[in-house]
Amino acid sequence: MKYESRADRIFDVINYLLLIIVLVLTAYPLIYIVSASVSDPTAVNSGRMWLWPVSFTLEGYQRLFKNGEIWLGYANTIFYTVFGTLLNLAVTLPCAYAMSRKDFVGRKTLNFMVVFTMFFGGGLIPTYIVVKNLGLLDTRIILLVLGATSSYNLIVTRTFFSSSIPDELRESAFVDGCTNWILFTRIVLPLSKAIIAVMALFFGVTHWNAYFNALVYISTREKYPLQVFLREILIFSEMLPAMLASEDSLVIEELTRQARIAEMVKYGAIIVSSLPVIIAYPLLQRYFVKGVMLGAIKG
Amino acid sequence: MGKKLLSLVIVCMLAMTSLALAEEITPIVDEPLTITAMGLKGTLFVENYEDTIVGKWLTENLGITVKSEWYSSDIWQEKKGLAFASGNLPDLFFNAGLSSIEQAKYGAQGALLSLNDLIEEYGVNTKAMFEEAPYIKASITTADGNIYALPYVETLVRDLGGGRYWIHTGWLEKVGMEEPTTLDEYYDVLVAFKNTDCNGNGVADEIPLSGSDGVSVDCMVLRALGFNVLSLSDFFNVRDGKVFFIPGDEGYREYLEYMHKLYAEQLLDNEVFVQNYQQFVAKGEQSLLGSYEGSASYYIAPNDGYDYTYMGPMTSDRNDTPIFTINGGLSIGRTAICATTKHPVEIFKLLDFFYSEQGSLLNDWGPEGYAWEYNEDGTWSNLVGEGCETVQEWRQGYVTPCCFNQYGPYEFKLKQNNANAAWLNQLTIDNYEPYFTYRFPDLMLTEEELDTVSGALTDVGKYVEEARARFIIGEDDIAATWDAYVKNFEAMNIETVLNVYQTAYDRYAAAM
Amino acid sequence: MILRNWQLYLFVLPAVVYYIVFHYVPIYGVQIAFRQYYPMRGILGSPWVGMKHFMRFFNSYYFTTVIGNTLRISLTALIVGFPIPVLLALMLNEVQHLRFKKLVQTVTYAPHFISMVVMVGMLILFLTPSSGIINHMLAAVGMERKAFMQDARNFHWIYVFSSIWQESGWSSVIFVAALASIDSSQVEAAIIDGANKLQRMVYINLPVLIPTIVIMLIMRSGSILSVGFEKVYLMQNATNLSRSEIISTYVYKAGLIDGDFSFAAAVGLFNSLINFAILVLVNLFARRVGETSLW
Repeated sequence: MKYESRADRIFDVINYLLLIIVLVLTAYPLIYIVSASVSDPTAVNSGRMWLWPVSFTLEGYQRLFKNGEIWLGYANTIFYTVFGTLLNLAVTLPCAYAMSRKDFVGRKTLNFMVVFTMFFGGGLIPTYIVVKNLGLLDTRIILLVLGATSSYNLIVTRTFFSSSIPDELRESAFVDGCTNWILFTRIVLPLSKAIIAVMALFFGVTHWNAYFNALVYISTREKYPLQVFLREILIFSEMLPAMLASEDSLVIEELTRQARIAEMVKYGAIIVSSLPVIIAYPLLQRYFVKGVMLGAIKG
Repeated sequence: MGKKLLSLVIVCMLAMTSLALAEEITPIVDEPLTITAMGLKGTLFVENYEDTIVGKWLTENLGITVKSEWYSSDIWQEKKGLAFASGNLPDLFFNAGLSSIEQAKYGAQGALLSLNDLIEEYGVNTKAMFEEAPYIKASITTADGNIYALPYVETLVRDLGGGRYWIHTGWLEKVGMEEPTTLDEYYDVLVAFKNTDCNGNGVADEIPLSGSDGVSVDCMVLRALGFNVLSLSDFFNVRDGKVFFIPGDEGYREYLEYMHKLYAEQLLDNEVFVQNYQQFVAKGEQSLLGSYEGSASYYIAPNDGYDYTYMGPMTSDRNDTPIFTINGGLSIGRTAICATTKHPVEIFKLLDFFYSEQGSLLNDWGPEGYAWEYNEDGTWSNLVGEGCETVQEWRQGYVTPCCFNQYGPYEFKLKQNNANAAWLNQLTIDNYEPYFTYRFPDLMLTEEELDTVSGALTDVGKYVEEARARFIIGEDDIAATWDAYVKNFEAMNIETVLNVYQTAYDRYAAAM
Repeated sequence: MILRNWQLYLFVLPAVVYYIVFHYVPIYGVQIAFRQYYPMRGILGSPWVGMKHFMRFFNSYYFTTVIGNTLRISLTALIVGFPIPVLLALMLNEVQHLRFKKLVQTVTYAPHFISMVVMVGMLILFLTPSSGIINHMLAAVGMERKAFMQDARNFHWIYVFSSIWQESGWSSVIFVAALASIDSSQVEAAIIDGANKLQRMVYINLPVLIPTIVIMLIMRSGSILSVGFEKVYLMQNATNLSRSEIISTYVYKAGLIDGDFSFAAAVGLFNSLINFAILVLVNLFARRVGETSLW
């Protein structure tokens, strides 16, 4: 039975209070976005709409869904995210584990090699040429392979393994005749659900939000992920003033009208594209459960 | 004898008819040819060029299929660079907007094909265009004498560039004043706008002058002071054959002082530097705007759309010749052929075709019967396709995205049966055409010249922009800081830049 | 040892191959910074110009301004912004009510997904003097309306606070996960010893987070000059340029717009060198002081 002291209760009150403030502050712009997605753009841009929808209209969503390319993008993104993340986990987890083992010869070199790439790289052009020479331009595969792992995630995962998988575990396993492979798959992984969940989330989100690599390496529109199509819409209204400078008056009318549509659509586009990931988080949360290590060492 | 004459006439007529028909549609190639074209995606709704009506027309009638690869503006720079770097060049660029610097650079490096010989040999329409408007050729020829890219040329007066400056006629009536013709008169009008309930809603919410991203009617003011500027990035002008730097000139100081006065007295919307275009338009839609620069009043302020008229070019105590700067309707760098293509001649013939009246029409509006059709009186009206809301959506998304170079087509555009277009045209003819002044040219520099000036120009450009904002808002006092401001340009090597531009200008003047 | 752990070498193989192919092979491209790059001639065929691009950057009128602005934003973000996700994770960890906890987590994590274009667009709308919500609130309590985005001195604060808003929830995820793997027997023992919540938070939870915190700090120090391009570029306007022009935006305007990849590469290399040097120093310090370090 837990004993709650007075200090504890004060702590709880302050904690809850602070968190509620955080909740409200963070939620406001989110509500704003939802409301803006169903409001008239003039009301939004003039500041009249500030919390609840003004001049309710579903036109933004209608146009968004009328756009066939959005659905194509969605399907592509799901493909890239699922398979990309699986690949990422398969490459990153074992490597990070090996890097966390103090008895792994070559550990320091590998560490340095990984960190070095976070700073120095040939840049876009040579990488593009390498990809071209591999024949991987304009393929779906390249989007899965690029970013097969990331230095940042490797290091974070390695840190996790270092600090939560004790050496005694490995020693007792070896005494029992385990190989590294069995140690990793049967013992370490099940204990690491939290970090697997986090990495699945990090990699998954990276894939979900990715657009730059697609823009650079892909030239067939059918292979584009969702974010590329969304960006076209978003960038369009930003670029409008520049485009207006050099067109005839009738084209100007159309561009202005399209920008207005882009304005209407952009908030809805954000919601449509981020909803799945936002929903994914609570589902993954249960893997961050306490007491994962319980019982592993005892006995 | 009679019979012979008759048969001769018939034969002649047949020949002429078939000639006419032949002139209409001659395939450029013997076998169907597919070429790739890379460009900017200029409109939101279109998918692939080869599927548009004009794309299909090209395939059927000229035998050439143009496959498009297009990208939105935020990745366009990288894409161009990558295409050149990796050797993965398309056959041609279209809707490319290649700047004069890019044309000079990539041309000199051998990435773009020099078109001079092709124009000489096959460019029937191109040469005709050059004859009609010599400034075109001078503007697209690089310093080494080559033409690497072809422009899109507007010929209708309303589309020759220079901006459109609007003032509310209803409000002028309300305050009982005439359209201003000098800067001082304009100031008085703005004051009157501010102090009267012009939009009749009982609230003092009138904004006499507004704009977005820090720009309102600046060029109009600069021109009133005697500068021939197309936009705020025009830093150079020429005076008695000598090139000088505008932002360091005494006249520019007057411009700053004028704008600062407007800002300080709240005649110029104090949010002009922090609001974007959409916010500006939102104010127009609420009938708050007295004057502004914008594409079309019926678009920016739809509720008062036709109650605006053009503000004519103005004069000031510094300058008594009204100037309206135009760029001659020239949009350079629209199409260019890549040096690696295997079909330079065919592609050039295609580009030359677009300079003919028929080709220009095709690029602009597509074949008859889709986006337009002739009326009985010789004018033509728009048509809207199924599933599209406006004619423009239909036209640019499905019929023709206007990606190629074109010239005019002048006669055709005049006959359009569209009230807005006609209204704009008339306004331009009445207010601006008499004062048309061709801009200070976008000079083509050699590679060494570019090398010398690009570093300095970047810094100069930034400084001009920043300082201008600070002066207009009043953060820096013009009187106190002007000398230091001018001195800074010397520190940035403006003298070297001026020398380079003088040389380039002399070259241009000689080529005209 | 190597033989015994032969399987571990297989574990690292895919990652190593990836790095070699996509990071180390292209590294020859670094020399673009020292050449005048002509795309048609290729990297190796372009003439060598040595330090020319670097000198252009160093001699620029804006060199010190741009570096100063970058550092100002970066350090403010680090000092003010870094602790927040940690605090958030610690606070969430103490919440017993599961539904509330999930709600707060999901809501705070959601802003990360708002694309930068929309985010900055909203920011500008909120801060507009005449019609933005922030100014409405100021006016409601009788204060003067301010043109926030026009005062260059506000720039880095606006940048940092909006980043905190957008990223704290997401950044706290890693800490939440770390806290979730705390051995609960340790916690029970502390309770029996009479430690209250606050004490447990400070003496048990916080220490568990230390390795992760240290690693993240070290890595952050290695990106001190790399303030992201997109957000700053979108937030810039003529009036705040004196504080909002950072290295990446300057390079973009000076280089990429004209296709001058060499210049961009040179500045990028300069950035990387400084970042790396700082990282090495900080890592050294961390090694001396504690157990955790990057290598």
